[in-house]
Amino acid sequence: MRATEAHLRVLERVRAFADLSVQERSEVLMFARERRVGVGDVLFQEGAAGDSLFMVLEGELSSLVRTRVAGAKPVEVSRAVPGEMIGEMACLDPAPRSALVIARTACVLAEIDRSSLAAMEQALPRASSRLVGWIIELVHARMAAVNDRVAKALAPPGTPEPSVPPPPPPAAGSSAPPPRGSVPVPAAAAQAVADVRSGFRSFIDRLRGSV
Amino acid sequence: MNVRDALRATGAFVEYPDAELDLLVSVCDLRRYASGDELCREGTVGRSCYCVVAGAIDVFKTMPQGEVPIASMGPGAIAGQVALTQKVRRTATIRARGEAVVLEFSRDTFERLLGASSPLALRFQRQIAVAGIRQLRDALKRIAAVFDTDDGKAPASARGSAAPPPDQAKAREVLALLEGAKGWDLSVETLDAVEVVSMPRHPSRRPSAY
Repeated sequence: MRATEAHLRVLERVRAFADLSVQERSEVLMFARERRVGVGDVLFQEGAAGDSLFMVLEGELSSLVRTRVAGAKPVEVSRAVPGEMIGEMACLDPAPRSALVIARTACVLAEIDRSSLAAMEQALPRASSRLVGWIIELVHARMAAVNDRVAKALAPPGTPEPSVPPPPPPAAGSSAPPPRGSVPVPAAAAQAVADVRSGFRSFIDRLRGSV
Repeated sequence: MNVRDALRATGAFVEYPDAELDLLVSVCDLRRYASGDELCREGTVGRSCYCVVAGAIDVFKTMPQGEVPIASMGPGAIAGQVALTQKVRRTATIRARGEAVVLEFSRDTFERLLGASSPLALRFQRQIAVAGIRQLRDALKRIAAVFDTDDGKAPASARGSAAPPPDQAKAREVLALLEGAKGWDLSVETLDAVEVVSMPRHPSRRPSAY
Protein backbone atom coordinates (compact mmCIF):
# COMPACT_ATOMS: atom_id res chain seq x y z
CA MET A 1 0.00 0.00 0.00
CA ARG A 2 1.05 3.58 -0.55
CA ALA A 3 1.97 5.47 2.58
CA THR A 4 0.07 8.62 3.45
CA GLU A 5 1.42 11.34 5.74
CA ALA A 6 -1.10 10.42 8.44
CA HIS A 7 -0.25 6.72 8.30
CA LEU A 8 3.47 7.43 8.52
CA ARG A 9 2.82 9.56 11.58
CA VAL A 10 1.04 6.59 13.17
CA LEU A 11 4.01 4.32 12.51
CA GLU A 12 6.36 7.00 13.83
CA ARG A 13 4.75 6.55 17.26
CA VAL A 14 5.44 2.79 17.26
CA ARG A 15 8.34 2.33 19.68
CA ALA A 16 9.82 -0.62 17.78
CA PHE A 17 10.06 1.56 14.65
CA ALA A 18 11.59 4.53 16.46
CA ASP A 19 15.01 4.25 14.83
CA LEU A 20 13.69 3.67 11.31
CA SER A 21 13.75 6.51 8.83
CA VAL A 22 10.59 7.88 7.21
CA GLN A 23 11.76 6.18 4.03
CA GLU A 24 12.06 2.82 5.80
CA ARG A 25 8.65 3.16 7.40
CA SER A 26 7.07 3.84 4.04
CA GLU A 27 8.94 0.86 2.60
CA VAL A 28 7.38 -1.32 5.32
CA LEU A 29 3.98 -0.22 4.07
CA MET A 30 5.01 -1.17 0.52
CA PHE A 31 5.02 -4.79 1.73
CA ALA A 32 1.59 -4.41 3.28
CA ARG A 33 -1.80 -4.67 1.66
CA GLU A 34 -4.31 -1.97 2.51
CA ARG A 35 -7.35 -3.42 4.20
CA ARG A 36 -10.43 -1.28 4.84
CA VAL A 37 -13.25 -2.46 7.05
CA GLY A 38 -16.50 -0.74 8.00
CA VAL A 39 -18.31 -0.50 11.32
CA GLY A 40 -19.29 -3.97 12.51
CA ASP A 41 -17.29 -5.80 9.85
CA VAL A 42 -15.57 -8.97 10.98
CA LEU A 43 -11.82 -8.91 10.34
CA PHE A 44 -11.52 -12.57 11.26
CA GLN A 45 -13.45 -15.20 13.19
CA GLU A 46 -12.26 -17.10 16.22
CA GLY A 47 -10.88 -20.44 15.02
CA ALA A 48 -10.36 -19.20 11.44
CA ALA A 49 -7.18 -19.97 9.56
CA GLY A 50 -5.04 -16.98 8.67
CA ASP A 51 -1.42 -15.91 8.69
CA SER A 52 -1.70 -12.13 8.39
CA LEU A 53 -0.83 -9.53 10.96
CA PHE A 54 -2.55 -6.16 10.90
CA MET A 55 -1.12 -2.82 11.93
CA VAL A 56 -3.95 -0.46 12.82
CA LEU A 57 -3.55 2.86 10.98
CA GLU A 58 -7.06 4.31 11.47
CA GLY A 59 -10.06 3.33 13.54
CA GLU A 60 -10.64 0.99 16.44
CA LEU A 61 -11.29 -2.74 16.64
CA SER A 62 -12.53 -5.08 19.35
CA SER A 63 -11.29 -8.58 20.07
CA LEU A 64 -13.94 -10.88 21.45
CA VAL A 65 -13.78 -14.42 22.73
CA ARG A 66 -16.44 -16.86 23.77
CA THR A 67 -16.34 -17.66 27.44
CA ARG A 68 -17.71 -20.80 28.94
CA VAL A 69 -18.73 -18.76 31.95
CA ALA A 70 -21.20 -16.65 30.00
CA GLY A 71 -22.33 -19.46 27.72
CA ALA A 72 -21.74 -18.90 24.03
CA LYS A 73 -21.96 -15.13 24.24
CA PRO A 74 -18.68 -13.47 23.24
CA VAL A 75 -17.11 -10.89 25.52
CA GLU A 76 -14.77 -8.10 24.57
CA VAL A 77 -11.24 -8.76 25.76
CA SER A 78 -9.28 -5.95 24.17
CA ARG A 79 -9.37 -3.05 21.76
CA ALA A 80 -6.80 -2.05 19.18
CA VAL A 81 -6.22 1.55 18.16
CA PRO A 82 -3.84 3.17 15.64
CA GLY A 83 -0.22 2.20 16.31
CA GLU A 84 -1.15 -1.24 17.65
CA MET A 85 -0.96 -4.65 16.05
CA ILE A 86 -3.41 -7.56 15.78
CA GLY A 87 -2.92 -11.15 14.65
CA GLU A 88 0.87 -11.19 14.93
CA MET A 89 1.16 -14.59 16.60
CA ALA A 90 -0.56 -16.44 13.74
CA CYS A 91 1.69 -14.62 11.25
CA LEU A 92 4.93 -15.91 12.75
CA ASP A 93 3.58 -19.28 13.87
CA PRO A 94 0.40 -20.22 12.01
CA ALA A 95 -2.47 -21.45 14.20
CA PRO A 96 -6.23 -20.84 14.27
CA ARG A 97 -7.22 -17.32 15.36
CA SER A 98 -7.92 -17.22 19.07
CA ALA A 99 -10.41 -14.34 18.96
CA LEU A 100 -13.10 -12.79 16.85
CA VAL A 101 -12.07 -9.29 15.73
CA ILE A 102 -14.73 -6.74 14.77
CA ALA A 103 -14.32 -3.14 13.63
CA ARG A 104 -15.91 -0.65 16.04
CA THR A 105 -15.39 2.16 13.56
CA ALA A 106 -14.30 2.38 9.94
CA CYS A 107 -10.69 1.18 9.94
CA VAL A 108 -7.65 1.28 7.70
CA LEU A 109 -5.24 -1.57 8.38
CA ALA A 110 -1.87 -2.53 6.94
CA GLU A 111 -2.00 -6.29 6.38
CA ILE A 112 1.24 -8.29 6.15
CA ASP A 113 0.92 -12.01 5.54
CA ARG A 114 3.54 -14.65 6.15
CA SER A 115 4.90 -14.65 2.62
CA SER A 116 5.11 -10.83 2.55
CA LEU A 117 7.01 -10.94 5.82
CA ALA A 118 9.46 -13.44 4.31
CA ALA A 119 9.89 -11.20 1.26
CA MET A 120 10.35 -8.20 3.52
CA GLU A 121 13.03 -10.01 5.47
CA GLN A 122 15.04 -10.36 2.25
CA ALA A 123 14.47 -6.86 0.92
CA LEU A 124 14.28 -4.85 4.15
CA PRO A 125 16.19 -6.83 6.79
CA ARG A 126 16.54 -3.86 9.12
CA ALA A 127 12.87 -2.91 9.09
CA SER A 128 11.68 -6.50 9.30
CA SER A 129 13.91 -7.09 12.32
CA ARG A 130 12.15 -4.16 14.00
CA LEU A 131 8.78 -5.67 13.15
CA VAL A 132 9.79 -9.05 14.62
CA GLY A 133 11.25 -7.17 17.61
CA TRP A 134 7.85 -5.52 18.09
CA ILE A 135 6.19 -8.95 18.14
CA ILE A 136 8.75 -10.26 20.65
CA GLU A 137 8.01 -7.25 22.85
CA LEU A 138 4.28 -8.02 22.80
CA VAL A 139 4.79 -11.72 23.48
CA HIS A 140 7.23 -11.09 26.35
CA ALA A 141 4.86 -8.61 27.93
CA ARG A 142 2.00 -11.09 27.79
CA MET A 143 4.15 -13.88 29.18
CA ALA A 144 5.29 -11.56 31.97
CA ALA A 145 1.66 -10.96 32.80
CA VAL A 146 1.07 -14.70 32.98
CA ASN A 147 4.09 -15.20 35.25
CA ASP A 148 3.06 -12.32 37.45
CA ARG A 149 -0.44 -13.66 37.91
CA VAL A 150 0.89 -17.10 38.69
CA ALA A 151 3.33 -15.69 41.24
CA LYS A 152 0.52 -13.72 42.88
CA ALA A 153 -1.66 -16.81 42.99
CA LEU A 154 1.14 -18.69 44.74
CA ALA A 155 1.52 -16.08 47.45
CA PRO A 156 0.15 -17.32 50.80
CA PRO A 157 -3.21 -15.85 51.79
CA GLY A 158 -1.59 -13.55 54.36
CA THR A 159 0.59 -11.75 51.80
CA PRO A 160 -0.35 -8.08 51.54
CA GLU A 161 -2.07 -7.35 48.24
CA PRO A 162 -2.73 -3.66 47.65
CA SER A 163 -5.62 -4.16 45.26
CA VAL A 164 -7.47 -6.64 47.42
CA PRO A 165 -10.00 -5.10 49.79
CA PRO A 166 -9.22 -5.69 53.47
CA PRO A 167 -10.99 -8.67 55.02
CA PRO A 168 -14.22 -7.89 56.86
CA PRO A 169 -13.82 -7.29 60.60
CA PRO A 170 -14.39 -10.37 62.72
CA ALA A 171 -17.91 -10.85 63.99
CA ALA A 172 -18.56 -9.69 67.52
CA GLY A 173 -17.52 -12.26 70.05
CA SER A 174 -15.22 -14.13 67.71
CA SER A 175 -11.62 -14.69 68.62
CA ALA A 176 -8.84 -12.54 67.21
CA PRO A 177 -7.82 -13.37 63.62
CA PRO A 178 -4.87 -15.75 63.33
CA PRO A 179 -1.48 -14.15 62.66
CA ARG A 180 -0.45 -13.67 59.05
CA GLY A 181 1.10 -16.69 57.41
CA SER A 182 -0.72 -19.15 59.62
CA VAL A 183 -2.49 -22.13 58.09
CA PRO A 184 -5.77 -20.86 56.61
CA VAL A 185 -9.05 -22.40 57.59
CA PRO A 186 -10.42 -24.60 54.80
CA ALA A 187 -13.31 -22.23 54.01
CA ALA A 188 -10.93 -19.32 53.49
CA ALA A 189 -8.67 -21.49 51.35
CA ALA A 190 -11.60 -22.65 49.24
CA GLN A 191 -12.60 -19.02 48.75
CA ALA A 192 -9.02 -18.20 47.75
CA VAL A 193 -9.07 -20.93 45.13
CA ALA A 194 -12.40 -19.66 43.80
CA ASP A 195 -11.03 -16.10 43.63
CA VAL A 196 -7.92 -17.25 41.84
CA ARG A 197 -10.01 -19.22 39.38
CA SER A 198 -12.30 -16.37 38.49
CA GLY A 199 -9.39 -13.94 38.31
CA PHE A 200 -7.48 -16.23 36.01
CA ARG A 201 -10.46 -16.92 33.84
CA SER A 202 -10.95 -13.28 32.92
CA PHE A 203 -7.21 -12.87 32.61
CA ILE A 204 -6.96 -15.78 30.18
CA ASP A 205 -9.80 -14.34 28.14
CA ARG A 206 -7.95 -11.04 27.88
CA LEU A 207 -4.75 -12.74 26.79
CA ARG A 208 -6.59 -14.89 24.30
CA GLY A 209 -7.60 -11.66 22.67
CA SER A 210 -4.00 -11.27 21.59
CA VAL A 211 -4.51 -13.46 18.57
CA MET B 1 31.38 -34.34 17.40
CA ASN B 2 32.01 -30.62 17.11
CA VAL B 3 29.73 -27.99 18.61
CA ARG B 4 28.06 -27.24 15.29
CA ASP B 5 27.11 -30.86 14.72
CA ALA B 6 25.99 -31.20 18.32
CA LEU B 7 23.72 -28.17 17.93
CA ARG B 8 22.32 -29.49 14.68
CA ALA B 9 21.68 -32.88 16.25
CA THR B 10 19.38 -31.25 18.82
CA GLY B 11 16.88 -30.55 16.04
CA ALA B 12 16.43 -26.94 17.13
CA PHE B 13 18.73 -25.44 14.49
CA VAL B 14 17.87 -27.48 11.40
CA GLU B 15 17.03 -24.41 9.34
CA TYR B 16 20.42 -22.80 9.90
CA PRO B 17 22.92 -23.20 7.05
CA ASP B 18 26.35 -24.45 8.13
CA ALA B 19 27.91 -21.03 7.74
CA GLU B 20 25.36 -19.48 10.12
CA LEU B 21 25.78 -22.19 12.73
CA ASP B 22 29.53 -21.77 12.50
CA LEU B 23 29.09 -18.05 13.00
CA LEU B 24 26.80 -18.65 15.98
CA VAL B 25 29.37 -20.90 17.61
CA SER B 26 32.18 -18.45 16.93
CA VAL B 27 30.42 -15.39 18.38
CA CYS B 28 29.16 -17.21 21.49
CA ASP B 29 31.12 -18.33 24.54
CA LEU B 30 31.17 -22.09 24.98
CA ARG B 31 30.88 -22.90 28.66
CA ARG B 32 31.06 -26.14 30.54
CA TYR B 33 29.28 -26.38 33.89
CA ALA B 34 29.53 -28.95 36.65
CA SER B 35 26.38 -30.23 38.31
CA GLY B 36 24.75 -27.50 40.38
CA ASP B 37 26.79 -24.65 38.89
CA GLU B 38 24.82 -21.47 38.46
CA LEU B 39 24.42 -20.01 34.96
CA CYS B 40 22.56 -16.95 36.16
CA ARG B 41 20.82 -15.77 39.30
CA GLU B 42 17.36 -14.36 39.80
CA GLY B 43 17.44 -10.60 40.41
CA THR B 44 20.68 -9.90 38.56
CA VAL B 45 20.69 -7.96 35.31
CA GLY B 46 20.74 -10.36 32.36
CA ARG B 47 23.10 -9.71 29.47
CA SER B 48 22.93 -12.97 27.55
CA CYS B 49 20.90 -16.02 26.69
CA TYR B 50 21.86 -19.68 26.83
CA CYS B 51 21.61 -22.45 24.23
CA VAL B 52 21.98 -25.92 25.70
CA VAL B 53 24.41 -27.96 23.59
CA ALA B 54 24.65 -31.03 25.85
CA GLY B 55 23.36 -32.03 29.25
CA ALA B 56 20.49 -30.28 30.99
CA ILE B 57 19.68 -27.18 33.01
CA ASP B 58 17.08 -26.54 35.71
CA VAL B 59 15.18 -23.31 36.18
CA PHE B 60 14.24 -22.18 39.70
CA LYS B 61 12.05 -19.35 40.87
CA THR B 62 11.80 -17.81 44.30
CA MET B 63 8.31 -18.16 45.69
CA PRO B 64 6.95 -17.19 49.09
CA GLN B 65 7.58 -20.75 50.26
CA GLY B 66 11.17 -20.77 48.96
CA GLU B 67 12.95 -21.71 45.76
CA VAL B 68 10.79 -23.81 43.44
CA PRO B 69 12.00 -25.71 40.35
CA ILE B 70 9.81 -24.60 37.44
CA ALA B 71 11.41 -26.20 34.40
CA SER B 72 14.10 -28.50 33.10
CA MET B 73 15.59 -28.05 29.67
CA GLY B 74 17.75 -30.26 27.51
CA PRO B 75 19.86 -29.99 24.35
CA GLY B 76 18.60 -27.44 21.82
CA ALA B 77 16.68 -25.42 24.41
CA ILE B 78 17.15 -21.67 24.61
CA ALA B 79 16.84 -20.06 28.03
CA GLY B 80 16.99 -16.50 29.29
CA GLN B 81 16.32 -15.07 25.85
CA VAL B 82 14.42 -12.05 27.15
CA ALA B 83 17.78 -10.58 28.14
CA LEU B 84 18.74 -10.65 24.48
CA THR B 85 16.19 -8.02 23.55
CA GLN B 86 15.42 -6.20 26.79
CA LYS B 87 17.40 -4.86 29.71
CA VAL B 88 15.64 -6.71 32.50
CA ARG B 89 16.56 -8.51 35.68
CA ARG B 90 16.55 -12.28 35.64
CA THR B 91 13.35 -13.56 37.16
CA ALA B 92 14.67 -17.08 37.58
CA THR B 93 17.88 -18.83 38.58
CA ILE B 94 19.37 -21.40 36.18
CA ARG B 95 21.67 -24.22 37.30
CA ALA B 96 23.32 -27.12 35.51
CA ARG B 97 21.78 -30.51 36.15
CA GLY B 98 24.69 -32.84 35.85
CA GLU B 99 27.46 -31.67 33.56
CA ALA B 100 26.16 -29.28 30.93
CA VAL B 101 27.67 -27.63 27.86
CA VAL B 102 26.09 -24.32 27.02
CA LEU B 103 26.59 -21.61 24.41
CA GLU B 104 26.22 -18.14 25.86
CA PHE B 105 25.01 -15.51 23.39
CA SER B 106 25.48 -11.95 24.67
CA ARG B 107 23.10 -9.11 23.99
CA ASP B 108 25.95 -6.90 22.78
CA THR B 109 26.90 -9.44 20.14
CA PHE B 110 23.30 -10.09 19.16
CA GLU B 111 22.61 -6.36 18.81
CA ARG B 112 25.75 -5.85 16.77
CA LEU B 113 24.79 -8.66 14.39
CA LEU B 114 21.22 -7.46 14.20
CA GLY B 115 22.44 -3.94 13.51
CA ALA B 116 24.41 -5.32 10.58
CA SER B 117 21.30 -7.25 9.43
CA SER B 118 23.18 -10.51 9.74
CA PRO B 119 21.04 -13.41 8.47
CA LEU B 120 22.07 -15.33 11.60
CA ALA B 121 20.72 -12.62 13.90
CA LEU B 122 17.48 -12.33 11.91
CA ARG B 123 16.96 -16.08 12.04
CA PHE B 124 17.77 -16.23 15.74
CA GLN B 125 15.43 -13.31 16.43
CA ARG B 126 12.62 -15.11 14.62
CA GLN B 127 13.36 -18.27 16.54
CA ILE B 128 13.03 -16.35 19.81
CA ALA B 129 9.70 -14.92 18.66
CA VAL B 130 8.26 -18.28 17.62
CA ALA B 131 9.52 -19.95 20.81
CA GLY B 132 7.87 -17.19 22.83
CA ILE B 133 4.58 -17.51 20.96
CA ARG B 134 4.52 -21.28 21.52
CA GLN B 135 5.39 -20.96 25.19
CA LEU B 136 2.67 -18.35 25.64
CA ARG B 137 0.07 -20.48 23.89
CA ASP B 138 1.13 -23.48 25.93
CA ALA B 139 0.95 -21.53 29.17
CA LEU B 140 -2.52 -20.23 28.32
CA LYS B 141 -3.70 -23.71 27.46
CA ARG B 142 -2.42 -25.04 30.79
CA ILE B 143 -3.96 -22.19 32.71
CA ALA B 144 -7.27 -22.71 30.96
CA ALA B 145 -7.16 -26.45 31.64
CA VAL B 146 -6.59 -25.91 35.33
CA PHE B 147 -8.95 -23.05 35.94
CA ASP B 148 -11.75 -23.65 33.52
CA THR B 149 -13.91 -25.56 35.96
CA ASP B 150 -16.91 -23.26 36.12
CA ASP B 151 -19.29 -26.18 35.80
CA GLY B 152 -18.32 -27.03 39.34
CA LYS B 153 -16.35 -30.11 38.39
CA ALA B 154 -12.69 -30.54 39.11
CA PRO B 155 -10.28 -30.19 36.21
CA ALA B 156 -9.86 -33.38 34.21
CA SER B 157 -6.41 -33.95 35.66
CA ALA B 158 -7.76 -33.98 39.21
CA ARG B 159 -10.71 -36.27 38.61
CA GLY B 160 -10.46 -39.81 39.81
CA SER B 161 -8.08 -39.02 42.65
CA ALA B 162 -8.90 -37.99 46.19
CA ALA B 163 -9.15 -34.21 46.37
CA PRO B 164 -6.29 -32.69 48.38
CA PRO B 165 -7.07 -29.92 50.90
CA PRO B 166 -7.94 -26.67 49.06
CA ASP B 167 -4.79 -24.74 49.97
CA GLN B 168 -2.56 -27.56 48.76
CA ALA B 169 -4.71 -27.93 45.68
CA LYS B 170 -4.22 -24.27 44.91
CA ALA B 171 -0.46 -24.49 45.24
CA ARG B 172 -0.38 -27.61 43.10
CA GLU B 173 -2.45 -26.10 40.34
CA VAL B 174 -0.37 -22.99 40.24
CA LEU B 175 2.84 -24.96 40.13
CA ALA B 176 1.43 -26.84 37.18
CA LEU B 177 0.86 -23.50 35.48
CA LEU B 178 4.43 -22.46 36.00
CA GLU B 179 5.47 -25.45 33.95
CA GLY B 180 3.86 -23.67 31.05
CA ALA B 181 6.15 -20.72 31.48
CA LYS B 182 9.28 -22.79 31.15
CA GLY B 183 12.33 -21.12 29.80
CA TRP B 184 11.13 -17.58 30.33
CA ASP B 185 12.80 -15.12 32.54
CA LEU B 186 10.40 -12.28 32.53
CA SER B 187 10.07 -9.19 34.54
CA VAL B 188 6.99 -7.63 36.01
CA GLU B 189 8.30 -4.26 34.85
CA THR B 190 6.86 -5.08 31.45
CA LEU B 191 3.36 -5.49 32.85
CA ASP B 192 2.39 -1.94 32.01
CA ALA B 193 2.89 -2.73 28.36
CA VAL B 194 0.29 -5.46 28.63
CA GLU B 195 -2.32 -3.02 29.75
CA VAL B 196 -1.57 -0.89 26.71
CA VAL B 197 -1.65 -3.68 24.17
CA SER B 198 -4.39 -5.85 25.50
CA MET B 199 -6.81 -3.76 27.45
CA PRO B 200 -9.21 -0.92 26.69
CA ARG B 201 -7.73 2.47 27.41
CA HIS B 202 -10.63 3.67 29.49
CA PRO B 203 -9.22 3.92 33.04
CA SER B 204 -12.36 2.68 34.72
CA ARG B 205 -12.14 -0.49 32.68
CA ARG B 206 -8.65 -1.36 33.77
CA PRO B 207 -8.77 -4.69 35.52
CA SER B 208 -7.91 -4.76 39.16
CA ALA B 209 -5.64 -7.48 40.34
CA TYR B 210 -7.48 -9.84 42.56
